Amino acid sequence: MNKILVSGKVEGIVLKSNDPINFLGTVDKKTGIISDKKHPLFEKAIKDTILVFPSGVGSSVGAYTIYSIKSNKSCLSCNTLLHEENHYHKFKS
Amino acid sequence: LKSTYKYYNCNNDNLPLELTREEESALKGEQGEIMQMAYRILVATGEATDAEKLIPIEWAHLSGVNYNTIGDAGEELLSTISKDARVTVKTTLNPMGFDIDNVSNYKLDENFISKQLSIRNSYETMGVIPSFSCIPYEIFDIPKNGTQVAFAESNAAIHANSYDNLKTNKESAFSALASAIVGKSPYSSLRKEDTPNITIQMKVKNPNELTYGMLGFYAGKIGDTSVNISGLGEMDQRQCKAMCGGMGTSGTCAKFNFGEGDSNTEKIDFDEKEMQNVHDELNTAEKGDLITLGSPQLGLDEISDLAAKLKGRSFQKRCMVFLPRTVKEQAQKIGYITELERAGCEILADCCTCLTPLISKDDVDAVTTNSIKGAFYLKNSNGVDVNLKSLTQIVEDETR
Repeated sequence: MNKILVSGKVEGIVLKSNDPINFLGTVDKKTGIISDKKHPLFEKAIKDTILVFPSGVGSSVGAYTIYSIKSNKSCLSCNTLLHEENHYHKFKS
Repeated sequence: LKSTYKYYNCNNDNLPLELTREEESALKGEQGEIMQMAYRILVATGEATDAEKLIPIEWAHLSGVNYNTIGDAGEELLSTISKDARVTVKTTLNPMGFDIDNVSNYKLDENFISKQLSIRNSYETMGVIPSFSCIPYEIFDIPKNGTQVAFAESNAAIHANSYDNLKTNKESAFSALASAIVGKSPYSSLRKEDTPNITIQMKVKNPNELTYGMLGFYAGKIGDTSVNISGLGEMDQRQCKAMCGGMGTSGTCAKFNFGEGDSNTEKIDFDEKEMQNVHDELNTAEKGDLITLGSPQLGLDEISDLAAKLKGRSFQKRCMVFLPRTVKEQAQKIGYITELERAGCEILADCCTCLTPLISKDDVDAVTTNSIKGAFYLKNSNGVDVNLKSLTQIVEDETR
């Protein structure tokens, strides 16, 4: 089932993770680079990508990290959450 | 008076979120930009979580306060929206970056301090109670059973659902802020009935708060929105908080249901081996250069217990103790603060270990703590190594 939460059209390279992401503390809020050494996307930048991942985890303040990297123009083009059978097209900048 | 609203061009198969005419008008922007922004957040969250409606909440608890976490973008956003935005329900606030009473003892630059004060000012302008605490459940009266609230702070959401008989989802900083402004939240997930499909069986003997923190961290990794948990003995407040903090750090889960659950649930053991795996992931040093206590912040009972444990003893290295200002004031009256300071503790109100700007890898290689939540963020955000020990062990090893 596809769910479109915020609509739009984008093109970009897909950056896919099967692991969830804790945006607070493990993603740089200026550069969008993933700093968690144990994460499969370690040292990858989410800038200009279509980020596909199962879910955010951990801190509620991760929302501000996403907002911040958008404000710093280091943001992903689109954010797609893979959640069981649901595909959420959640966020476009 | 209800109308059916479908979000822009979305084509969802599930039942759409129903909005009242007034809600629909706010979403269209007829009640101003702030209300429109808040409703857009709530409607998108509601769509994502299959909510059928928005329902009133009585209390919002906001995260996104520490300048170290929200940065310039967050500071500017709050400054802008605070010109018009006002909260419409009781709203409390997470810790900020420092304690204004002793900030000059730490190496924070003027920019940090002024940006942090701007954030504080924005929240106060919006009508938020400046509680600067991640343990609202310990310092405010708990409303009656089943009350709907919107808690962003992850340990607080889990504590509210699991121990305080309140109902909240694991809100994001923005969904909780939107709920504070609108006074409503999407009626979905943990706000309704929940039936966990996993039961975690606690098998570790003689657990302390560190064990419960690791249990929570483990549960957060495997649970979805809630888990059953069995085999727990009597737990004190420190251990309950540690378990909530651990779970909030690792996952999406926001509730413990205590008991075995029904026979259909998948049973998973938390044993010595699983505990060791979590320990190995988070414990990266044999010893720390300094000690932090509090993530979540310490409540009055924990401060009282700490003062008793430190009777006649002194720390041999720095020990930072984080607590809410209201707890500090109560503890001062009773004399605990004098006792803790005599033992060498640095008492810090309004802030917390988690994402603290007061510990820098330029000065510190490793930190000793009993907090799993603190350990995760110290390691990943501050970039320092972590030495995990229970409070009893810390007092035994680090004081004389």
